[in-house]
Amino acid sequence: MWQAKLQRHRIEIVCAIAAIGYLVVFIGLPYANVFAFSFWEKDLYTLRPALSPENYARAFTNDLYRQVILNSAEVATIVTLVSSVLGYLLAYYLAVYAERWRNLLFFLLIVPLWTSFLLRAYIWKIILGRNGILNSALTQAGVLDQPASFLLYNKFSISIALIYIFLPFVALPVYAALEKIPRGYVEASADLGSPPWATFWHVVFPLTVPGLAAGAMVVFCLSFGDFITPSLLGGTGDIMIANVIIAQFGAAYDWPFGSALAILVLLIVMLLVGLSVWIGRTVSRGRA
Amino acid sequence: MRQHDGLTRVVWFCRSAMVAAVFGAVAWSSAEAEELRILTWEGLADDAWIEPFEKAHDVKIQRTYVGSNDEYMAALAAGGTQYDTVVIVSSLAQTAIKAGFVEPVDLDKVPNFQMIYPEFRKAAFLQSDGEQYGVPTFWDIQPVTFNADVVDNCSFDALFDPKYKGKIAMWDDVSTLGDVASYMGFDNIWTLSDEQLTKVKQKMIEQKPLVRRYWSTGGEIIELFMSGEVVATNSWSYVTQALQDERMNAAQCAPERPTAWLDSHFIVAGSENRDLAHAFINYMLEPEVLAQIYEHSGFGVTNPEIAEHLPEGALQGSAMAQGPEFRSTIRFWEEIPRRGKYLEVWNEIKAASVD
Repeated sequence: MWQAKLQRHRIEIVCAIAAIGYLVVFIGLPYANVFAFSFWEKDLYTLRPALSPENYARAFTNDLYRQVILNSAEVATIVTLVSSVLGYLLAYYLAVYAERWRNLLFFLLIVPLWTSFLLRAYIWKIILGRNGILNSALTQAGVLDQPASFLLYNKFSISIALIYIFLPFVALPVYAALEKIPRGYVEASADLGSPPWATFWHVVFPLTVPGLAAGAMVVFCLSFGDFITPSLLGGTGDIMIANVIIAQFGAAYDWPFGSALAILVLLIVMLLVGLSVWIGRTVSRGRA
Repeated sequence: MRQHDGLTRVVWFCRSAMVAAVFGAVAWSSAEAEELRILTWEGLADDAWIEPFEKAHDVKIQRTYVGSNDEYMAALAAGGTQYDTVVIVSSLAQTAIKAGFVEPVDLDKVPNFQMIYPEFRKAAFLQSDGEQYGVPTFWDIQPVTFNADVVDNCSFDALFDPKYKGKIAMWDDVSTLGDVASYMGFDNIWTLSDEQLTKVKQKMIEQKPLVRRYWSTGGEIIELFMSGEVVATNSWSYVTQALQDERMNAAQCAPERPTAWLDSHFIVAGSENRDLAHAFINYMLEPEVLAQIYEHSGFGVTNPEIAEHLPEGALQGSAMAQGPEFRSTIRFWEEIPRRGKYLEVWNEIKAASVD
């Protein structure tokens, strides 16, 4: 009897084992390790197992860490908002209006993903620099008297590079959601006398919210934790939390303190993401 | 709207990404057989002198570059025996010896050691329990590099001159704190008290509106000069040399109270290529090799006999032009007992906003 049951659920069991295995090996163990490290102590270049709250105390007592976490939150919020709006518009155009250009445009959307992340961040130095492409064009066109320095090495240049890099992460799931909406829904709404914007707002948009939310969440988490872009394009005051964490594992050789910071960031990001999911649910329940 | 299109495309994209990943992994795993793995600075391991050694000993030299002295220590602390030889700065030599990252050298296998300036051969920070650990190879002061088309009066003051607002760069390294502390007149630059560190921090935060960029690698600061982003920085002679090689009107000067460093070759503890590592260190001291490094990098070297392999007057303006008096009184970068605190202050400077 149970054998027949086992037979029937074979695929299900294999999938479950694979999923649990993945979670344990790639998420559970590494995070448990980081969590344990965060209570250790260090002298110069030796790490000592301990149960010390010292690392967390240090993170809370020095304003530096609050400041860099705020830097990260600011950049991540800007990047998430802008790439959500732009990504949505792009996906909508692609799914609804692009027609025979759709394949080509879709290809152009994902082709940058084949290039290295580093390269895509670095290229903005060449575009935004004092003698960069943009400044040369603007000075030659007579818009600027002399090359502007405010384009590069600040939060603006970090944000623009991250928006450029992460935009497909919103556009792709939204596009997939839009493509799945049967034409009948839109036609029915129109037949019942709804103007196009009302159809969009009450029929199309709610069906794409899960895709949009998933994309936005990924973008928020990735830009919050990025350290390459701020170290390449950031100015003298734009270090983000990930830069400070990586310095603990490199220059400072303070793995315990770096781990404590990483755990704090994890909690903050989880809190923010959880909060936005809860708000999203409450809002959509209110509308239904 | 067609139903499955979006999803198929995403799947197709994922599949091509996977194929790319597999190819990448295959290419990565095909490593070489006989290898000497060295951890060093960019500019100290050019093909011009590495390739002859590779040919003579039939070995492949695997070079890893780092951008700051702290990175060396982190790499050694984390890496076990990933490297055979390493270049360590004066300030971290004792730390590395005490931590057991490096092992003593057999001076019988490094005959060229006897050619080194006697003042440097005796350096206590390269020894422990009567054994020699470090082989001093490169030394220099930390100069100010500037674009001579723009900056007319070179000194450390230029780095604090509002005339060059937004066009100053500073090296993203703890030793920059020492440079500034020395400039401010402190003598105990590596053992500053909290109060003194706060003063240095304030000075550097006041400087921030002038600073375009805190740079971390030689390649980065060279590019910043070439692209016109910056006109002056606390620097390395290597940077000045590289800019001149690029035909830029760059020059350097010694600050009024310069800080100086001495880089030595060490053998990483547990290296399995001891003989080869000794041969490599000995080779690096050959006057012909060091003459090339001097010409290529602009860094001072520890073997005075390079002069015979260089054109007349080539040492002018270098720390090597100075006499034995200079060498025996020079104070190299020392161990920073409160390294963590220094790094935290440095991060506080970098995180401070000035608007």
